[in-house]
Amino acid sequence: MPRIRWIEEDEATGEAAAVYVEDMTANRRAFVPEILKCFSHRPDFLRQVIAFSDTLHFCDGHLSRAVKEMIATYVSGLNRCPY
Amino acid sequence: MDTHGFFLRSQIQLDESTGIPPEEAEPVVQALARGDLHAAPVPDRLRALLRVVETITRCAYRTSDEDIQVLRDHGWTEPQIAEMVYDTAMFAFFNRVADAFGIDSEGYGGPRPAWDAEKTRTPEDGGPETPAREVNENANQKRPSS
Repeated sequence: MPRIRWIEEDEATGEAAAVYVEDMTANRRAFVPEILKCFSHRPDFLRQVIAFSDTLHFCDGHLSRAVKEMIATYVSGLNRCPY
Repeated sequence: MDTHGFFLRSQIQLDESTGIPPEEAEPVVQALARGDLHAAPVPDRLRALLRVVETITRCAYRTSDEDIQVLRDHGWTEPQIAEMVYDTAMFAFFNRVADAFGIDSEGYGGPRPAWDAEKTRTPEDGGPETPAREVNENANQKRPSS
């Protein structure tokens, strides 16, 4: 359980529910990743966070997706962030 | 850490863009997930890039003109260097949000690094006096602080 409550998939209403459905549909999965649920109290910002990470990270850009995943893994290792 | 390590293992693979042969992919992912670039068998060009990722992550104000010139000397372009900075900074953001909320690995594979147990122990139950991350930071200072 997170130490700050977030909105679960089955309790989301309004804008939060809409963003959750968009995310689950786009990624063909029945859950929303926990890192995204952290932003659920600001569903307008959550939508921007998803766009931000899709545009920058989850794609080939000037760097390949593989190089970017190595950066993500290394930064998270240095930051001792288990997620 | 585990999430992106999982992506590297399962979905993305370390393709030819990395110059890493498939048999070395797992040692690379494990070393990076421990924050141990020294132990990661990566080509020099990628190692240079990841060194700057480390500087930005540990202490961004220490990033120097020379650090960036080294990347150019390895053939990284200005847009590639810029994108490395954006991606590095974005994960600083996500790491902080994840840690503040207290979310943990979702069980993506790989062994748990030693610091994962250490950070929950106190000096009274055998844990380190100084968190491992601070020891590492002090050991890796490039210049004396002024």
